[in-house]
Amino acid sequence: MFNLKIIYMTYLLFKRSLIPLSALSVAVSLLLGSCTKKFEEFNTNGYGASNQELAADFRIYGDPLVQAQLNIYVSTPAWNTQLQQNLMGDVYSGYMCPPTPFANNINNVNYGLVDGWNTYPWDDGYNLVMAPIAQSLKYSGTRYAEFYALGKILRVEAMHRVSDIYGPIIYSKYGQVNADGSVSYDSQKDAYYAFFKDLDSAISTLTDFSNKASATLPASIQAFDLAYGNANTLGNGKLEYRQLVKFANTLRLRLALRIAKIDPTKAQTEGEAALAHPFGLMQTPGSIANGGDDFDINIGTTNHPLNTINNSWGDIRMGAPLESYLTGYSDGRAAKYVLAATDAAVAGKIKGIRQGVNIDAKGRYGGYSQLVTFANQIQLMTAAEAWFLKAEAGLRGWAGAGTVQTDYETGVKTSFAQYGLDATTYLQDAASTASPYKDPKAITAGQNDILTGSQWLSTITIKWDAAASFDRNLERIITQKWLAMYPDGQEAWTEFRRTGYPRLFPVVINNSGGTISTTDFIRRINFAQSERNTNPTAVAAATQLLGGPDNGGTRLWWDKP
Amino acid sequence: MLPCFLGVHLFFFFTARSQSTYAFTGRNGQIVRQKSLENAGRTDETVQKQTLFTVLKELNKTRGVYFLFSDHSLGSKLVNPVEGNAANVEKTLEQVLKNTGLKFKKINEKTFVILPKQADGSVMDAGTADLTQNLYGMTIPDESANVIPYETVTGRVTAGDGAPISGVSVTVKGSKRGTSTNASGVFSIEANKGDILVFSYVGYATREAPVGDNMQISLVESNKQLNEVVVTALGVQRKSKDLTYATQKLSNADLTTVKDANFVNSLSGKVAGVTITRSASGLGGSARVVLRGNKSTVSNQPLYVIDGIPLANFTPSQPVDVWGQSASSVNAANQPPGAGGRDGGDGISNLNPDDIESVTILKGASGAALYGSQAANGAIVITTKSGKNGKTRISISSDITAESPLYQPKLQFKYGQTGLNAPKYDSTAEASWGPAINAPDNTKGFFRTGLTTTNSVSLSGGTEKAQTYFSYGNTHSLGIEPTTSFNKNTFNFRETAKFLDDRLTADANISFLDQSAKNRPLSGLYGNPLTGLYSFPRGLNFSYYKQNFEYASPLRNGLMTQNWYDINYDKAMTGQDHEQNPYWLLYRNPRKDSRSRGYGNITLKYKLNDWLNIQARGNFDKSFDTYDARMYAGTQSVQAAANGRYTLDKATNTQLYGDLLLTANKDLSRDLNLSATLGSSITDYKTEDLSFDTDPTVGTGLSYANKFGVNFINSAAMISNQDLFHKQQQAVFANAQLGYKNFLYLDLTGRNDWSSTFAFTPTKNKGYFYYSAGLNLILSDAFTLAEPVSFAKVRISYAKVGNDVATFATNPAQWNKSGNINNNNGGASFNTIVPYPGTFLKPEDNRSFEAGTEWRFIHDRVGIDVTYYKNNNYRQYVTVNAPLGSGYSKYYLNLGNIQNQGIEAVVYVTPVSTRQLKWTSTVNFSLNRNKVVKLSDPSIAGANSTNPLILTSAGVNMYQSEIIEGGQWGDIYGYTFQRDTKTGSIIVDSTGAPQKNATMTKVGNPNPDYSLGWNNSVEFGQFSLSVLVDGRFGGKVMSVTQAVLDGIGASKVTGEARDAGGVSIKAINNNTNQAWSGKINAQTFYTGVGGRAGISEYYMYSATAIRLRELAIGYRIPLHVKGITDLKFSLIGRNLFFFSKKAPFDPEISMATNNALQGIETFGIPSTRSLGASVKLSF
Repeated sequence: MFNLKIIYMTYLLFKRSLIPLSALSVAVSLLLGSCTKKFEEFNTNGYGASNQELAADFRIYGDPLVQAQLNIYVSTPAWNTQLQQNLMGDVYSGYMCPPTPFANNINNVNYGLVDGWNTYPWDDGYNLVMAPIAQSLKYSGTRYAEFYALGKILRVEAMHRVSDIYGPIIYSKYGQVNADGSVSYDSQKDAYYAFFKDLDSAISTLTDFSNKASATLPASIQAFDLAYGNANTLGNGKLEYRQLVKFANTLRLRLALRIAKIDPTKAQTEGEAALAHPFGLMQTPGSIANGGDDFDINIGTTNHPLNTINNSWGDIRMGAPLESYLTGYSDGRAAKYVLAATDAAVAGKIKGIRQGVNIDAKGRYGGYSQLVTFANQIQLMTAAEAWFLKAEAGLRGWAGAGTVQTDYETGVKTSFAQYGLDATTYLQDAASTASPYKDPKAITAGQNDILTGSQWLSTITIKWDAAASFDRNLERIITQKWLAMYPDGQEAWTEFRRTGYPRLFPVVINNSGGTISTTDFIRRINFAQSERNTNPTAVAAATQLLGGPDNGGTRLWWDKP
Repeated sequence: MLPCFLGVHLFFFFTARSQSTYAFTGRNGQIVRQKSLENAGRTDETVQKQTLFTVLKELNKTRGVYFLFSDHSLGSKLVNPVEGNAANVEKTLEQVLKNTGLKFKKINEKTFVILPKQADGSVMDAGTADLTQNLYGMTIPDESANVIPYETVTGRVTAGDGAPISGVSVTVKGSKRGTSTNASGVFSIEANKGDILVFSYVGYATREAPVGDNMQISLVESNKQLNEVVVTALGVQRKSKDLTYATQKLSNADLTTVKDANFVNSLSGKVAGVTITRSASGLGGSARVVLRGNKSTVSNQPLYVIDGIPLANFTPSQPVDVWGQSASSVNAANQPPGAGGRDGGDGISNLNPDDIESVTILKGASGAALYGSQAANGAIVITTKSGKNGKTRISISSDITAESPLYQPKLQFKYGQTGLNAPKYDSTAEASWGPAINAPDNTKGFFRTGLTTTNSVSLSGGTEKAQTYFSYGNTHSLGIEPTTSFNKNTFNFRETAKFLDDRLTADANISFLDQSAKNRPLSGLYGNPLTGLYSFPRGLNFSYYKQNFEYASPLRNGLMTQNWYDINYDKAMTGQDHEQNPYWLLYRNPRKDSRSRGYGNITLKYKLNDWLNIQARGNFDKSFDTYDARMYAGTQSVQAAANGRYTLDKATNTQLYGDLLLTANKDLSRDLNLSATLGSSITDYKTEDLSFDTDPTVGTGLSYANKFGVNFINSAAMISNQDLFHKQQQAVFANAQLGYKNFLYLDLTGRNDWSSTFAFTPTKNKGYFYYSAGLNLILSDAFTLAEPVSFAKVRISYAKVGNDVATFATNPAQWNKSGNINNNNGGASFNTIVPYPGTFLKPEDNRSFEAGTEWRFIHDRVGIDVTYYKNNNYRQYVTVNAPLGSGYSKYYLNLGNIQNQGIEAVVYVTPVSTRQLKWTSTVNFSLNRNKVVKLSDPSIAGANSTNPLILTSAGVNMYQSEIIEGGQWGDIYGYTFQRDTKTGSIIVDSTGAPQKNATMTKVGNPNPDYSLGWNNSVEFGQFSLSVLVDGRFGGKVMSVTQAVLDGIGASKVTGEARDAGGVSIKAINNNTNQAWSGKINAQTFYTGVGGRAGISEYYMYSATAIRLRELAIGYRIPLHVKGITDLKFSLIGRNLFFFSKKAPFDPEISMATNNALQGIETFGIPSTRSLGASVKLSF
């Protein structure tokens, strides 16, 4: 063997004196054999980090959860958000519509589903949420049960959104690679059952923590909880756990109502469990910093991606249905949601773009209403929604839901209060309905208009009417919930599919080639391209679980007509 | 293991002198002499008198003098023994040779020649070297049995232009007697009347002439020479006729007659089997070189070797997508949006072409096996100039060329902006689907005439013991795009010296490069002035926006911000990300690429004995790259935030190389020769990259408008990255070439590599072994072939080359922290890319076979060299997508079998060869067939046979490049028309808009089916002409430029379609299922097919292109000015025109020169025609 030291010294000599001659001595030593002792050091990237390096200050448990929170709705880069949600749920919900004729105006907006786009919600859900959460859960386990519980709640919050896009997803079998290399899907039913199970155990863990006598807990999750982490600075260590439980309860109720049609028994069991929890649901509007309960992810200095898409790129504008409701109801929240149009044809008005219309160039609708500039937080669930969920639970006669009318009105008030507005007068309005939609810039004049009397124009009013039918009341609740949930188009689209409310406008151009009905609207998104490439056998099995062809027209499990 | 010195300096001297030009005769000569020596020893014991050998051997030992014989038989003559100890060697010799019929002649203090008395001493006038040659030849016993009185023949050898050629070997045909010419071209040889003299010299056609008085021999240059010396692995020189694999050699003239700023581009059309793709970034840009087809999923570039040392061909940055966003070489991901598609140039382009003596291309893996894994794609071996013994020579070369665009996109100016004259709201429309107008061509005058000057001066000179070469080169260029410029300075100093009785040779070289490029043209849609230039809405006033590309913004207190028809801060017009005011981009988005590079190497070679050398080499190569880009406040908001954007990227690249070689060359028997190399090497390669950028989506970006500096980037908008790439390779290798009777050669190579990239795997300690074997039979030497055949050989070789994997792949970091993309408010992100669980990465396995034959006829006037090759690259290192449900996003693993097979042929003819006129013509042909035989592993999810490896992902655009099982490397995938299955007609909707299929399918492959290069050179008196025509045939390429311009009605075809009242195409209306009657509205059709996400199929073009690549007309001015030895003036042209071209751009150009973006053009600057003049002067 040869002298290791010589090699190393020469190497140093190389580095320091830059004398090529020293290579000679290296070569001399080499002739006698090779030295691979330092190879491990050479082949370790000093600018990455290992688990050990992340252990201090519980970062190994917490950092993955932070990554997950920032990507349930991708907070950056904005182009990713655009494909994850903005060009799908945000449009299908009727909130927004792009003025840009992407891909020659044959794209998801007009049901010409683009494979390259459809894969994003899936890829983001797994790469940026499931994968890091799995790491956190792996290390936290029972040692740090509060991290474990938070991880599970975040996982449900993220993955129910993914399931609501595609249907069957990989959840309970995540990380279990079959012998043929595939990873199996859960049916949407199994996934939802697994969500309930996760929520149940997380709620019970965190309830225990919150009930403990000591106010300061050994390994607080506060530094890693971007929604309620600063609750501790406002109250004490227990408050944060309490907040998380309230969020988890509300999430449980949301999911329970989601399956109310298809699986009423399970729905009622889970819903009533949520309503019965001593900590209750979210109820006060605003983020925790303002004393509220809203589940808002604080994204720090990162600009809200909608600001980039809307302001910098000009790739998103208000949707026509939102215009119709906000103007029809003379809704005070309009100014908090969108700006007046700048286009000469509609200047000063609130003007949205109808989904799926003929667009030749971006300039045509670029001057319609922009969105407002959002604060640097991602709104994933509001207290107002909790009240509307309660109202619907009441409507369905679930125990613990309270009075439907009170829940409904509190929901509206809570939403208004979230924007510093008062809803008293608004709630008394029994006459206003959604207004007709007119598009003065349509390429074919009148083609995009929804006129009075159109079947697509809602006649629902604001004021509660106890005498109205279940359906009318459900429409009223969901329509107001829809107005309150803005700008989270993903959840709004899901609720639209489940309930059929609020009434939205169908596409004018349908590029689905007959797979998506114009009048039934889009029901889901195709399985991800990445899955078809890497996991084809499982996708084939998942299509069986889906119970229909893998296209945008097939209804999900909970989506009963 | 000390080699035996034997004390036979006498013969050592012979061998040493002979090696350079006459190795093959040297071996024979040596054997004969050794035998004579043995005989001599025996005689010594039996007789009183001693043999001359014995006596001289003693004198050599005691006095240190050397002796030369004019005939070996003299050595066994009995002579008088040495008496006494005379101080004077001459006296001793006189005494010894008394009455023996022998005499001696003193050459210098230490050297004497022994001659028979009747021979004339004038043989020595040509100098000692010549004598050595001469004496060699006289060792054949039969010839010297009866001594015929020779006469001395003298003469002079010149080149076609009359310049003397030194070192020409002159032999007497039928004997092995020879000499060589001195510096004045003069030779002197002993020959008989009626003998034929053979004159040969590398680079010139061999000539025969009968003995005459005061012979004047003129040699003509030839492309091919029987004894051409090529440099193979590790700088070992071999005669090309001995090689078992295909090589091609280019001389300095091939590279410098018509220069390119990146000399690699000069290889185009001159070498069979080489495909060169230029980057679209213009001058000083990088080049993609592929030898014998694309083999690898990772890198297909060959290894560059300079004077035996692998070169770090560091390429800091390449564009990654159609947008033209770029990635650094170290960190391909996580680049912030909106950065322009930047080609950072490559390492090889840093060379000064004037410093290159020759370039040898080793096309297959066989020839390269000794260089290690990096040479699996072949090697380009460069020999640089060194000082020459003799008179100091100064050479000056000066070129000036003017460049102009070779083509431009065909545009329309007959139809105005969409909605022109309509209500105000359409005034910002980008498209030109408006009313018929008569707009001026706004692209006129945008490009300027580029100007490139290349100047270099070199000094060379030295003595027998030490030679020096110094050169300085400068290339300065103003590109055709305004504001772009390029400047390169190279210094090179080389010193070669001999020590310790010429046993030790030291060769040291230091070079330094300073290079900078301003506003190097970008490819893609972002930050590219050409998008706005070509698409500018017709009917608006371009010259206004040219004069007023910025205006003082009242809302920003007079800050100068961008002024464009749809970008105006005060009017709240934000414009679009893919096009801006071209002049704003040129003047307010300045970018600078600069590189400083130092390169030094030293070689020490020690001659252990006459057949064994030991050589050690060390090399140091360090380069610093800086990229500084500034986007002023007012730049479109996708690219820069309100206060602007600053990008700074600093990369340091270091390569240390050392090797130790033991080389032997020994005759094992009379018929068997062995030349062998045993060696080891170490290469340490490290790149460190530090970059800062400003996130355009965060706040105002910079703290103050146009205040550029890392410290002025807002902390929230700061994107900072530090990356590292480090690997060390160690190797032990051996090569042996066994030659039988100089006509049969067996070549064997074995090598074991250890690479640090295999740390954490079982391969780390054992490394990986690979080998090559080849056989070569020179038919024309082995058999007597019919007269027209002057040379014939067949060769066959097989090689298996291993290759390592990417740095850190065996040990990926568990957590990453990259810039601020997907960040965690300062936290790390989980890395989901891992080696396939449960496996270890293994070395790649690249196997190649080649067989070739070379034939020459009629004294080498006609020749052909044909090679068939087949290469299979197995177990490639790939990254495949994992099913995301596995917990990972990508797996690293070994997979596949990519096969290339093809034929290369070189045909050369010298149709005319007279003293006055010589015409040589060479045709290079290559044909390659690529097939992805296997790229799947059924047991691995994500590696099924339908799953492609994506080289460039389509994202939201129309181009995707893939490697997929059953397909070919680099297949282009894109959108196709929906077609009626019966008639093939396209399907349109009720408005006539073409319908496209939702999923992408294969629309073509950019690689050529075959290529041809035809090189002609004519010399007529003082005039010379060289013409290179080359063509690539087959393959398909995509023009996103055309698609985008069609989509907005800016292209000429859209104007013509409108003139014609629509587009005539067979179509079926999907509403009525009836054939479309009449024409389709032009706007409906072109907005349907065009755009960056349009119907890809429609934008695929044949890549066939035939061009006049190089033309040079030279005149050597017959000066008789003292001091000036040569003055040549040439008119030069490059890329003069296309004989045929189908695509709307130059298909030889691609956006990137790595594996990405092949066969696609997106607003690249047009390739240029250059015309100019060059002067070469030496004195």
